Amino acid sequence: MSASASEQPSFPIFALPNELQAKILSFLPDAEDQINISRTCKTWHNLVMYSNSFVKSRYLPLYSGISHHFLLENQIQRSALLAFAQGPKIEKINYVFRGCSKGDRNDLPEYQERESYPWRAALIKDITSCPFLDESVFSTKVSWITWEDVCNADGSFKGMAGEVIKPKINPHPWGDRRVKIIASLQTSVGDRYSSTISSRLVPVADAKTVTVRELAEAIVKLFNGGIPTASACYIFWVSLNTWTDKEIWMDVKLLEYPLVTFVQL
Amino acid sequence: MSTIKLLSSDNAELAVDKEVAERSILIKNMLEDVGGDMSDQAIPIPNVNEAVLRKVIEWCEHHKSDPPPPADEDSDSRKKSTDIEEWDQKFMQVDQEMLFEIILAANYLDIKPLLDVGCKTVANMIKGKSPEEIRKTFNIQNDFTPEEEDQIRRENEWAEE
Repeated sequence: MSASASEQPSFPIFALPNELQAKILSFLPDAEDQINISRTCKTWHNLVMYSNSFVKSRYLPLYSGISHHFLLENQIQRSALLAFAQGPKIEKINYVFRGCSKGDRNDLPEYQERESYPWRAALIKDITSCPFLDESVFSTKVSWITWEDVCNADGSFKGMAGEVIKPKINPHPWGDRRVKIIASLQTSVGDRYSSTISSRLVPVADAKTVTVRELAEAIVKLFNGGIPTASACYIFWVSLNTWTDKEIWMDVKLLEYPLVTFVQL
Repeated sequence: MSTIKLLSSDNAELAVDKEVAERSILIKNMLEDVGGDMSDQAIPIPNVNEAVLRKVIEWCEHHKSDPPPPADEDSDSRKKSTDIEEWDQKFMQVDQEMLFEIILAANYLDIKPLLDVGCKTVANMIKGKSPEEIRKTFNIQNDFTPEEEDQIRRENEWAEE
């Protein structure tokens, strides 16, 4: 009998020690699988949510010791977060997996082909309530990278109370390189703007607790003022600046509702 | 080539080439501890029954010439692949009980490549499945409360074109 058959096993999977269950699940590092596993039962929910190895697996190496949350991954532009907002308020966050269909994960097309895939060929998951969103943007293992580092990439900035905050100088391995978050904004009509938001993003919390959700909220608040339509949808992800190989970029694409309804099928 | 004997938990004595048995780091270390001479005495494997031990030996025989796995395991699970070579895929076409027993035995006997193959096989049974499909595959009880379940249902609406 094949092991894949559904049956009533006399030796259930939970008879395996926790560390072996964790090892099995560790071979499923993608967000899609982790979300599904965490929704299977309480034991696996706790394993995925709280075990060190799983928390660690949700951070992807970006550059020289910097890791960022996998919900913000941009692995060959494969996935992204999609935030639907009414004015400055986020109503829904979707996780978008582009160029594949459910159960077709091993047949992902190669890079060039995938590039031509429109967002419409994406798998969408409503993760508004997903606890992964409440995990920090950057791995806390990288203690020297702070939210201020990111915000202060271009120098000082105004804090929440309007005070001028000077950039910190940290003895980190990048020497004098700075981490930047740069957003390129694209509207539905093709207008393209580039805007360095690094000095405009207001730190929303202590460096180590800036979460993916808070980052999404900050991005929406940042861009909302300049957009004529109140309802909007933002697709964003983190990537490494491949031109310089020294900067972290935050790519944000703005889509208006009529354009993104196709992904709501 | 020297032969050693292994004694399963249900008292079956199995003869196996030393080279094959030494795919198990546990057995290899035991043999080193006693100076390598265990020709007249069976090594007890108290946690593994005969059927499972025979399967493990079959795997070790097929893989006896494999290079040793890298000592420093890459801890980045993102780089882990669930690819399994064809012979191992066929080897793992067993019922769930045997599959889990092989994983337990590989863990106990410290045969990391076999442990990885077993864990990948189970991982492939989970990959791409919805929570309900995973529960059905492994007969897992849904122990979320109705409120939690409702929350999950709302979060779990897939859409695809």
